Amino acid sequence: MKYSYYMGCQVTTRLPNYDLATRKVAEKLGIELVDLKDASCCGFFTRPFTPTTWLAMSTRVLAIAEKTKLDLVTVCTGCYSTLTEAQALLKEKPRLKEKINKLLSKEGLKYGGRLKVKHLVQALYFDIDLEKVKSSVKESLGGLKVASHYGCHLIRTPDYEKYDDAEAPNILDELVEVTGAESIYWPLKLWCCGGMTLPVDENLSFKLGGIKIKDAKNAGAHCIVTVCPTCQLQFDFHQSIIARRTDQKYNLPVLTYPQLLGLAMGINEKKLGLQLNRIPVNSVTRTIKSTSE
Amino acid sequence: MGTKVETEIIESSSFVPGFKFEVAKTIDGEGVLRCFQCGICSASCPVSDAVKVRPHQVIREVLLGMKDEVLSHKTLWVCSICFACNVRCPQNVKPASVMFVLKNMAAKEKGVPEGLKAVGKTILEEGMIQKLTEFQTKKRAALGLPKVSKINVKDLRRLLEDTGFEETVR
Repeated sequence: MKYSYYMGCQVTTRLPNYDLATRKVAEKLGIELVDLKDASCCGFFTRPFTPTTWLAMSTRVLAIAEKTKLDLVTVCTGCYSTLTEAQALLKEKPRLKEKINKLLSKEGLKYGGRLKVKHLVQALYFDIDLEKVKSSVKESLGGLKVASHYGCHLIRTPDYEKYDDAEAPNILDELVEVTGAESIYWPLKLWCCGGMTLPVDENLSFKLGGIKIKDAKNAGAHCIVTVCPTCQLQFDFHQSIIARRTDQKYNLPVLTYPQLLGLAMGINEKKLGLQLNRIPVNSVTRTIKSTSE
Repeated sequence: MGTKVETEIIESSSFVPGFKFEVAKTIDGEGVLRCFQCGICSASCPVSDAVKVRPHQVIREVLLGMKDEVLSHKTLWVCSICFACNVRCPQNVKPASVMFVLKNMAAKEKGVPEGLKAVGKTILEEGMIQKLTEFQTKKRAALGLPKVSKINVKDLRRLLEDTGFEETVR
């Protein structure tokens, strides 16, 4: 399988570990990722400002990706949501598409509409196939309890309904369980991480993040697994400040899914960028080792 | 949280009767007229407890024509954009999408909160929501990651100007 690969702003700048693990895991599965050139922001963050900027920015990315003649894979749920929503809108409204394409023609770009956009988990589950992912596992993560966190913009995107149920999603849980780990029940599993409120109300954002981390911890999770940079940053980068403000000690490791899968494939921790996760992941690797002995 | 019902008398002379149609004619706001006030949006909302006016109340105010009040509510901006309301609304109002329309209107009339404006400025200058720093570039190289392809900010900026984005960031 060969895809064009779109990281999105936050993975590019702040989460090289997510990027690194994605590439290592892809390599093991025989997936070729072709980096998208001139990959500007998908436009999601412009949506509160003006009505059409996000659509123009999304279409720009889609048009650039279409030139590669490959399906696009992203590791960001926000990008997945924004790009697929733009695609649906452009398909539904040809006049709007014409208008946006006219704007893009100034830089020689044009979006046709044949491109397929997928989040990494959809590509793994459906294109690569769950069974093949399973057969890539060399070291079972049996004994590890994982709180799988989907991210709102993955499951609550209209496009996702073609793949899974927004209110009872399954894809990530199954992907986690083929590693041998247990994807546990936690009451607030589908609740928002609060990351998007950060630029407007920091206290509220951290409060929401704390509610989730506490819930995962109370449910007995050894770690949280994410597939979204905003959620990863919220749970991992902000965890110590969230803990301090709420007078709690969580120390709950947070891994992106490719990092978890990479461990199960037997890939070296450093090659998965695990040393860059803010909350040390020692407790996770210890749990894995102690149960495999 | 206990439920305390507060009543107040609303002065209707300042209502803008056509406001709901102004919202309904937009792509994201087309569902607003269908709201029958079941409140599932507010029940599903992670920030409901943190705001004075909850999502279903904002929608009700839109329908009543309380334009000035609506565009001043903090609710619009602290919406965590989780889309739980969009998925659950039985009338397909898409409250989170309606919030985008209201934010666009508020951005034009009252401006965008500073924290968000800073993100907007970075998009304008970098073509991304965050600047890729020298440090981050070196870190990527040390990990053996490929160089990030340069963004054609000049072309992107024209797109942002053409769609009126630049004015709202100033």
